[in-house]
Amino acid sequence: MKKILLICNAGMSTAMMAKKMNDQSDGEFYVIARGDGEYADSLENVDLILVGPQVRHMIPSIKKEINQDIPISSINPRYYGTMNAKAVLEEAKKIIDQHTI
Amino acid sequence: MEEKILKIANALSNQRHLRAIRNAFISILPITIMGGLFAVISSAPVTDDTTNGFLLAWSSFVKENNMIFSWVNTLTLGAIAVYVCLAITYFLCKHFKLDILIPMTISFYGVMLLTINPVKLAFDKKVAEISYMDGKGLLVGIAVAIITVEVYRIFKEKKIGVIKMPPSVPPSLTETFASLFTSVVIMMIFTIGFIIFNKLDTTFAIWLIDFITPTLKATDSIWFILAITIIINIGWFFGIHNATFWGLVGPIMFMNLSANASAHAAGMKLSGILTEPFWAYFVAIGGVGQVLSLGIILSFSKSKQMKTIGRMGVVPAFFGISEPITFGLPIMLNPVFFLPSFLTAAVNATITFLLMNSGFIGKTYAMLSFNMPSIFGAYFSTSDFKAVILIVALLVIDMLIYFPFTRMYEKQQLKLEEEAE
Repeated sequence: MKKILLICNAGMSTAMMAKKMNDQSDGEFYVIARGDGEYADSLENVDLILVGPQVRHMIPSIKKEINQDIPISSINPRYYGTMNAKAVLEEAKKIIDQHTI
Repeated sequence: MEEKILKIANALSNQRHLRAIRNAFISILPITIMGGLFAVISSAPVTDDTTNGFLLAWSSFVKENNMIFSWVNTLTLGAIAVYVCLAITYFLCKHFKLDILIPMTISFYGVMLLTINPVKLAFDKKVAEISYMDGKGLLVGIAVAIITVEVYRIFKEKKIGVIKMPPSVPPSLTETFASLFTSVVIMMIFTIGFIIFNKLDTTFAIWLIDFITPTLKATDSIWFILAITIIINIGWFFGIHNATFWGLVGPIMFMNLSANASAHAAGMKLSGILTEPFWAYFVAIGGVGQVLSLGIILSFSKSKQMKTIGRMGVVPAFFGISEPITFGLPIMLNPVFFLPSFLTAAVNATITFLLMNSGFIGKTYAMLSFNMPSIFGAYFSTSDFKAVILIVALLVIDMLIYFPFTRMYEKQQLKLEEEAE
């Protein structure tokens, strides 16, 4: 099972997304949502970090801070707004596959 | 353009002090909620001609137990400087990957020392003036936290205070000594500061607040509020969360809120207008972009896509979460919605400011969660039923502003949907 960490400002709207993603992932993924102030404690075994579009400007600093080889990307705003968990999971799959090659 | 703005946003949200301040304000929520709850309970909605037995009993219960309510208020919102100071220390330590406990204890010493004014320190009775632990001491708390962690970190990095010991001494002992040395130096800095101001018959907190009060007064004006409104809306137009700016705006809002809370607990007139509840409940109705009004309009749209977004986004918007509509419709980078999303914020802010300033509507003195729907939040933060009516009125005005723009966008969307079919 792959673990995905979603990051946004306070972990509110990403929590909605995480729930939908967990419902649709058929056990293939385990998704958690954390705020900017707390994600550093939840990096263990994370295979992919997805950032809410409203905090996408923080990607460079998150990259620097985690200092680990975890792929990081921002969620497509359209998918995020429509809470299209399926599309986000598909993108996640692609990024993880590319990263492991 | 977008890239430039993203860069600025990254610089702002990545600046370690601003980021720690922002996260500190998010994490002290339990304290502000506890203070808010007691403030709400202590405000029985009675007037001179109230006859309802329950309300009268409530009001007299509060009067009899005034001390308890005031004390809880004093140790929650009234001690906000201490909590914020500790929280900033925590987040800065995490940023530098330092041990957290020792800097926390030093910060606690510093903030107590520089905000509290001792009156009488006898063996069995110690009396001190603690009213500057509230928002008035907030800047002191922020300064103490930053000084503590920065000095602690620099000493550690430069290995200042590491005493050469004979090889027979276990290395962990050298480290303890080094950290002891650093801690005492930082505490000395605070102590010297205390002594200087004490000799001048004041405290650092009192001196600082006298110094910045004119500036603070200037921020509590309609112009400053409108300026913030513009900046936040431009940020969201590029889909950037307003928390990016909260490291700067947050302290101002909390100083005002805390001053209002103390005044309320003391039964005095409130003065500050720009507070977190002012922003969260009265201006950003439905989250930034005032999307509750928009969500309601969209739910009845002829366009399939817009209707879906509206129905999905209206419930989160009721709880102050605007992301589904902002990114789904989208408002982000959509020229049609830039003007109304700014206009609604400006109109909400202006009307509320004028009504609060003239005293027609009560000012805010309690903050619950920003997820509390505006209609309840407006009442609980002011204990004024007129505030609820205001929210409904603002919601209708926002809908009127959004409506023509939604129609315009609907036409475009309908055309696209027709072509697709």
